[in-house]
Amino acid sequence: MEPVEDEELPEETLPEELPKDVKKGGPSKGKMWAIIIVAIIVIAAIAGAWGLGLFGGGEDENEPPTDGAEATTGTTIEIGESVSFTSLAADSDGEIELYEWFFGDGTNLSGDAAAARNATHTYDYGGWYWVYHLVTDDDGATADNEDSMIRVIVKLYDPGELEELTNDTAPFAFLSADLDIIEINDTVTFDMTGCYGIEYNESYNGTGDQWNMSWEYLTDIVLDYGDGSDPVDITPAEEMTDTHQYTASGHYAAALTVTSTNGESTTVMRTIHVLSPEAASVGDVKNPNTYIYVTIGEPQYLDPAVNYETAGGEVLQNVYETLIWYDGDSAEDLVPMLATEVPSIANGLISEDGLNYTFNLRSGVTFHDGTAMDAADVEYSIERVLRIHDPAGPSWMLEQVMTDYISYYIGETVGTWIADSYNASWLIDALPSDPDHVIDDEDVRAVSEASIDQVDSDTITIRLTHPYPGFLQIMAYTIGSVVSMDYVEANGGVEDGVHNDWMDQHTCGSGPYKLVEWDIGSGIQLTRNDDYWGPAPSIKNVFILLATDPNTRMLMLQAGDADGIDLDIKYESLFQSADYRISKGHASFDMMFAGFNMEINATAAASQYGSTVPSDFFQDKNVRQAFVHLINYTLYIESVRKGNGLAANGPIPQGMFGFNESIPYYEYNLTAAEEYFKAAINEGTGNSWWDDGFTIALIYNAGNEYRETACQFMKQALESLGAPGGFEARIFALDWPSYLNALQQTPSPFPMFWLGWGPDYADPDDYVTPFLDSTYGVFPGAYTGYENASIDTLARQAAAELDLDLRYDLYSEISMLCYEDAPYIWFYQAQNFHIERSWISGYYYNPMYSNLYYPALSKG
Amino acid sequence: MTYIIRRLLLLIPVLIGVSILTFFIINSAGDPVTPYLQNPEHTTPEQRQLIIEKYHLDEPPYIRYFYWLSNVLHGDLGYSTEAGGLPVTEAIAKKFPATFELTLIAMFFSIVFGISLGTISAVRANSPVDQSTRILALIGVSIPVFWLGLMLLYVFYYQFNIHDMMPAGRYSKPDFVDDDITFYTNFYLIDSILNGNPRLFWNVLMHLILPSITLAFASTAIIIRIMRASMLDVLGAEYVVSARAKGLPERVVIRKHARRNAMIPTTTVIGLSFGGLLGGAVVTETVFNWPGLGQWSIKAAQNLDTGGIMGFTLLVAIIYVLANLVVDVIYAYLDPRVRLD
Repeated sequence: MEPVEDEELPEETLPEELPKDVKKGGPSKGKMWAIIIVAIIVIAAIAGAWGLGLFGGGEDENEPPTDGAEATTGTTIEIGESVSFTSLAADSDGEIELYEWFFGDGTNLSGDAAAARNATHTYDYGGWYWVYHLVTDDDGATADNEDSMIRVIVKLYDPGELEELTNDTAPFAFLSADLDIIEINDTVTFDMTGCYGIEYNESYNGTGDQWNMSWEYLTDIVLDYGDGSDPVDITPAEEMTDTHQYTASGHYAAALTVTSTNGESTTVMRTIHVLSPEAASVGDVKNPNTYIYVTIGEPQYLDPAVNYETAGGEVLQNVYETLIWYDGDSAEDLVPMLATEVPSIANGLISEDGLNYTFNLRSGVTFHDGTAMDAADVEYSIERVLRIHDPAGPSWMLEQVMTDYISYYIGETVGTWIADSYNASWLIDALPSDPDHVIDDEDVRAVSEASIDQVDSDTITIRLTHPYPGFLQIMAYTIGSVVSMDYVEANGGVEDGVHNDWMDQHTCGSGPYKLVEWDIGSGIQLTRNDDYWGPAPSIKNVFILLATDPNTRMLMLQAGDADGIDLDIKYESLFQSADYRISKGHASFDMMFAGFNMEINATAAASQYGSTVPSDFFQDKNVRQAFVHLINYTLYIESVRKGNGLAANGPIPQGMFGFNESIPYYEYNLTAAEEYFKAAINEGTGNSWWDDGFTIALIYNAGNEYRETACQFMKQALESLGAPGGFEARIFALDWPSYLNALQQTPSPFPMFWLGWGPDYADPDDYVTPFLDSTYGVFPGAYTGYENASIDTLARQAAAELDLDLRYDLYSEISMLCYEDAPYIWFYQAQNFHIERSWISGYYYNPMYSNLYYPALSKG
Repeated sequence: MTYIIRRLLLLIPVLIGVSILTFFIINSAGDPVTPYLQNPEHTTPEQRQLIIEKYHLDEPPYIRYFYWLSNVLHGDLGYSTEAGGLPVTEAIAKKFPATFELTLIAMFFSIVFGISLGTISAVRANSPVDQSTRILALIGVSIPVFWLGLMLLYVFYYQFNIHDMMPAGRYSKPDFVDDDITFYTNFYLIDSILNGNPRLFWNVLMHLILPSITLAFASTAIIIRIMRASMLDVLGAEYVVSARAKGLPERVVIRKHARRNAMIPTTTVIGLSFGGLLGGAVVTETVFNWPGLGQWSIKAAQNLDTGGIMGFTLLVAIIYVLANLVVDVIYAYLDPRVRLD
């Protein structure tokens, strides 16, 4: 055990005396370290203080004060209550001389520290207010809280008031504004829809005493913009809006006063803050030429022929263009893009029989590789989709109407396909005449080429096998993107039945932006296409960066490095300042629903989840009807979705053609549920399920809080019924792949399942068929086993109906049948939520967009 | 030298063991064809058949293993769907430098602070310096990594407004749109020098600081603890007493006699934690959006990207084994007794 010996003594001279305490050598070292550590801490503290702006700068020049304010009491109050504020202003090289408060309702307070450092204000009218705070220091420099004003919400009425109506009850007034922090010369749209008066009507509906509420009982509606211009009289109507342009910066109290037939009146207010020119100037904006969006998902592919998700869709809709596209925020109205006109029967571009669609192409359009776009590119792009025919991609949308799904028949005979098809002669002629010929990719190619004709270099005609009015909507989807033929041919061309790996990650379209780089795992960079045929986009560079952690994304937004981020609405309250703009409440086309499995794998359900319901449990309409009455929809949307959701009355979402508001909505009604359970017979015993009782498994995918809570709502309602036989619901969570896997088993062990459905294209057929068609629908076919012959007939008829009025009626009939048959629970239709820095303008929500359309945006 | 060669030869059976384990774990988890498909969801039966023939996937597993091993040795590990369908070797070439660069800096922090603080702690046992170091170490091992990362971001990136620390990737891409940058090695610090771009170098460095501190924190704490403990042992040893007795200055005693011996156990910990850091940067990489191995592996595991999982497992195993080897070699240098064995 010889220790490692030192080779030689150090060169330093040895001390004359050995130290008495050998440890003595150490402390000086330790002290040195301690000093270093203390020094580091001091430096860090100084840096910290400097970073926080605690130190003043130069000696001669006056340092302007800093400002801020906070409310010391609650900011959501009732009429007549008050809010207290305190100033956070500081001046590093002097005193604050003047404190000014603008409470947002037209009143203000000013004075020195003693008088106005703290302020308390009573609000006399309901409404939404911004509180603006301005300070001046002893050298005359000012500072304000324009970037962090305080929001005060005064409730419009006391809920109790409406329960005790009298002849003197004041009318209900409501004033909303699309923007309330604006720049000079911006226009605000005020919406007063929902104001009403109250009248007593003795013989209403023969039901006796009744209070009626209607806008018809209003006599006067006066809107004062608050900026000194004349108030305007608004004519009472069901929908009331008004716009006003603010031409000078300031803090204005817009006030709406409504008077009803009983002579009573109500005033509500809304603060409109017009930013001072310096605050609105570009100087404060980070990266003025660049938009940075930080999100969680990456594209799967960037080839419009195969990509079928929104992260890829976002890139595609900016770098590629379709022949026709959506008009602004409308998903129903289409405008020409690479075509010069939207085809219709009226303009002759759709044939009378609804089969031939002709597109005249815009001239002077070039692709990003510099080649000119013509009809050959369009034909090539569409045929490419049909020839690649990725079954996991969106190509089915075109195949259903152009080739009658022939790619699905590869390996089967021509005869089989013809028997299932619409017998389009031009397609049959393209195939070998032998009915026993086995279809291969060569035949798919021939059929694809037969379905589209290049009339001349500026015109193409697409032939459908059967009338399908949703076809225009399909062509507006990214699948209709026109790619550069030269570019694709130079990079692998088209191979039947397989992806082009190069095109999966590279693009060459004609859109307003060009793809610079897709750095997988890191992000995407786009740059403005300076040769774009249309108006040049305002923002030069776009970065779509990845950050999976929401905290990181929020920090980037707060720091101003991100202009917009992907964020869940639950974080909304953290961003209530003038630095951010939130868009929410617009109806998306995403439906959240629960489906009833009518062919349960009861054995597996019993062994895995302890479920006791038989395989055909949900084939009984009474059982389904009982379940749809168990959910408190209003409470669910209000408390779980925080109000960000619309009640849904069937498969067709609000905002889409075919939606009919008069179709009834399912209601929370436990008495009705009880009656239905009593009427539902357990065929095994002959008793009702009410008497026999059951245990049912409710399964959701782990991590989805909305579905988890939906299960809890159902469990609680079911178990609270107090059925003599005993109802029990057991809730289970499975991770997403396992959930999907178990759901896709045939038959599935899930008695019920929770899923969402988003739009492929904005046509009701994209909802009705998948949900309800027993043959072609994905849910009846793979998940529920639901079958209703009348709906099948109507759905196919509606899909092909060219007369829009007739088509609408058909969809209403389907929705009504669906309501009565209750094959699904419609939980809610989702609404949008988007947050961005307020220096971004131009954003609007279109439910068919894949996130952002950058040409619409500008910065600064 | 012979020692190192002997150790290298001993690596072979270890790697074979690792490869057998990896092979069978992956083959029990899913379809053996998937690692070789660029687009597993969109493959025709013909393509599948071709792959089955090419890779002899219809043979019994013990024969397949040898074909598989031969492919691995030829650099064919299949494709990783979570790296956009890149071949696994290319994915590793892209992701490994990101993590390696981060880990190197983190290890630098760990070693410098771990050893020096550990030494001081032991030399000044029970003094306030020691107590505070021990508290620091305790905090280090107990603090959740994601929280530390977020707090650092909040303070430095947001409060101090250090724009260069933007937590999106390895440098602030939007700030360099007009620069022509070529990444030769994927080690960005080196690449920025090769590009002659000091602004990029600074940006890359600033991006490295917070994640490497986050990553280093826990391992620093462990190194402090080990260093302190072994230093205390050594300081009580007879040879230290005799070194002092023969009149060496305390500085020399500590540096050359005590610390060098105390480094032996610490080296083991450093070596192993280096391997661990490389493989375990998952949380740090998530908070800072660092496009490295950690992010890739977690996505691969979540989405059953078998090619990716296999490549990652093999890589981490090799790194661990190599780290062990390096530790052993340093051991031999630090402790000549090992060489005599």
